[in-house]
Amino acid sequence: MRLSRIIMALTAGLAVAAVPTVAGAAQPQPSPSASQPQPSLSPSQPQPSVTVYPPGRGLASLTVTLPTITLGHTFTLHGSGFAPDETVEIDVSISALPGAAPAAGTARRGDGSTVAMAAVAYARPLDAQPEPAPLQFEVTADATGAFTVPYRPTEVGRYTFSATGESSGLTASATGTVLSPRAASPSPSSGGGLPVTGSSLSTPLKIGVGLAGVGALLVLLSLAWRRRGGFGMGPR
Amino acid sequence: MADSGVSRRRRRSSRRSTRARVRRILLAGLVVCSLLMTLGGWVAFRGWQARAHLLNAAGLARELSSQVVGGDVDRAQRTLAALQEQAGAARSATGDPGWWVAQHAPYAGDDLAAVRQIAVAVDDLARRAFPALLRIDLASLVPKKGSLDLTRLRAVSGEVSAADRVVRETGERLRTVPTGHLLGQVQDALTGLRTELDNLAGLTAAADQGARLLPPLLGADGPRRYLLVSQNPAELRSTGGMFGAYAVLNAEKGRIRMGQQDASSGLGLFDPPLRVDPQVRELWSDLPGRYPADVNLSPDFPTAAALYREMVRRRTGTTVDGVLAVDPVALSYLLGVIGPVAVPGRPTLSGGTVVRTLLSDSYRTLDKQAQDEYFGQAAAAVFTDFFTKSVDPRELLTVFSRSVDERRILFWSDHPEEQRVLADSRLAGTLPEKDTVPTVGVFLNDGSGAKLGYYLRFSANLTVGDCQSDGRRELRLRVTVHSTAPRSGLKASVTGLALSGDPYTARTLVSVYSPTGGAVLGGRLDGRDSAMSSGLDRRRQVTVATVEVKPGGTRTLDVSLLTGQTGAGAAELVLTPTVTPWTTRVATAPSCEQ
Repeated sequence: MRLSRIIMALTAGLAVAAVPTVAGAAQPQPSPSASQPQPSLSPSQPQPSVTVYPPGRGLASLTVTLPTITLGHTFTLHGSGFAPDETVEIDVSISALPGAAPAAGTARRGDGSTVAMAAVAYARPLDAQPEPAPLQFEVTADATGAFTVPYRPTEVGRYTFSATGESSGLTASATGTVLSPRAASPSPSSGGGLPVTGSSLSTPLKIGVGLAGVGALLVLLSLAWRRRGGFGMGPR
Repeated sequence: MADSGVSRRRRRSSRRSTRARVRRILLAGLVVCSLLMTLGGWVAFRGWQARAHLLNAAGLARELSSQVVGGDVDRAQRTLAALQEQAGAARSATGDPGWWVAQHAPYAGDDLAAVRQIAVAVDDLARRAFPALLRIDLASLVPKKGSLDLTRLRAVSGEVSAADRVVRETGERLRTVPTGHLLGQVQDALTGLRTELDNLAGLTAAADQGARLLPPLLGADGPRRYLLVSQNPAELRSTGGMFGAYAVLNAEKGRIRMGQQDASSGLGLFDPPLRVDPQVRELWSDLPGRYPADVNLSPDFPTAAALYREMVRRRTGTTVDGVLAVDPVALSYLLGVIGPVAVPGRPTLSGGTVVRTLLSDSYRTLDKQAQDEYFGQAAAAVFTDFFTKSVDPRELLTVFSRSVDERRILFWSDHPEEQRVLADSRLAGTLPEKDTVPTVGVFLNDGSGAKLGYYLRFSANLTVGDCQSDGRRELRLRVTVHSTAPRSGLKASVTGLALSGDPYTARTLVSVYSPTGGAVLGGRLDGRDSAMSSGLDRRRQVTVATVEVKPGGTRTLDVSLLTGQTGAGAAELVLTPTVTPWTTRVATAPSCEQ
């Protein structure tokens, strides 16, 4: 293990690694955009919601609670920092959930069965909800530029919500994960199925068979001895 | 009477012949029994001998590895000779005709065959693989006078390849031995040896690839040019710290020279921004493509390195073949080996104090102009000392190994075939594409625009929870952030933009990455539900919490996560390396199948 790391470290050309660390260990932050003209937030010039280099200063934000739900439950989207009373368009894109069972184009029903689904909309509505969840909708921000809207997904997957303020051009996004509902079957740990009897039994088995063999041999020998002794003594 | 006399005589003769037959059978049985017992005894005796030799060999192998690591070459040679003797004896003990016959016996035969295979494998390793590994001259892997001897390196590469081949062949042979019905002890020995061999094979394969990769990287097949960037953990970024400054390195035929140096701030702002991956943009907007200080907001070092390379190319016209990143903590390890470095007219740099000198003292005592001068002088002094002082190559390699292990040295090559080789190592600075063990990432980005990272202390506790019916497991992560910052007296160069509203309150954006195929269930800050932004990074769900800590304060972030489908009860943490190492704890659970 150590050797591999050593070699890998060497691969990097270790000798010189030290030098500019000193030089740049503590360079002041790059000149922040104080000197840069503040981009105006007009519809014709949408974008820069960010005016300084440190992250986390987006003017508009979007959050999802809870970030992970099971199918049948509802996300709550909170937006803030948009222009007062503006219309915010929310686009939803859904990608397959890696590692989860449904393949592309399918989704699991509540009872665990798999149904085929078209990529964007599906012809056959789910039992519980006749309408598929919309992939695009609009909400109106309140006087403080905030909004709260519920969203009920109708298929399993990763959901990315992108909110765009129609007049301010501000954008924000958030993601949520929708899992298939917990199957009703017992967990694998307690599930049926036969106990696995493997090699753990074979060794005692061998010893047992061996011992039985030795025992049989001893019995035969003792029988032979006794019979011989009987022959010698019997008639006298 | 006559009739009865005849019959009695007949009976007596028949009784006599029966007795003779019984005696013959008994005699034959006795002979067979004693033959079998002799053979059994012989095999048992040889087996006992082989077991003793193999146990000795195992002990010697442990001794050998510690001597190799400790650099005691003479004693390692003697240990190797003893190991070869023991392994040879074990091989010959299991190689005689009696053993061969017994291998075909029912019940015990497969155990004996397995023991034979173990003895052969150990002997092969002792005779053919270990000597080559021991012959490797570590000194040839360390540059002298700013250059690396590529001829010697190629010779080492040959040795490593040969050893790697032997280890791989032995491993494959051992894998064909059936384990199904073996005695517990033999089975344990066999699986143990297989695991050891797999470890060794991983090591020799990596060493082989590394030794082959090094010459082209150092310009054996044409000159190479790299960017050496320093990450500044006083202003945290996911891969370790803001890329503060860079230097151009020129490598040709094993010789490395330093070219132009500059600060990231000299690169300015990019408008329009460079293209940023859509998933990254959803989490961090265009920042990584806009500011050189933000290229590493997301923890994937290759992405950050490629962006930085492009920024340098656009501003200076210099195109490089790769990016090497280091941090001051790695420098402190290095100074621990080469000894203190004197800087004319300024405090001496030494392993114990360099982090404080660079990340704290210089901000307190020097203005920006003097700081730049000091850093420039220090760089020149370390460079000179590094190449003029004679350094123990073993110690040097140990500290580099430690630095790579702690993700304080990262490397990215623009040549795809080289990057592929590096991709699995910690040096590459990536999260696995697909977890073998559920891996949770916790990455830090400074959100206050200040240099308060020097004062922050982080801890992470990860607990593996219950198995769920769909094959997932719940994970509970607790991250604490503590600030040791003073309440007053910091210069404006430290408190910076003070975006948290108070110059002494550090705002840190803590990103938590779920395992691949997993999900973030929710997060709470100090026990209260907290609005956290969320996004995706390849197959992981990401949530970002904003954590603001006042001087002396501690905040606790709890995040619950789901793994992808896994039975494993283990879990791993990947973290942003910080000035003061994280306190971590991972509480594992039994795997789900049991």
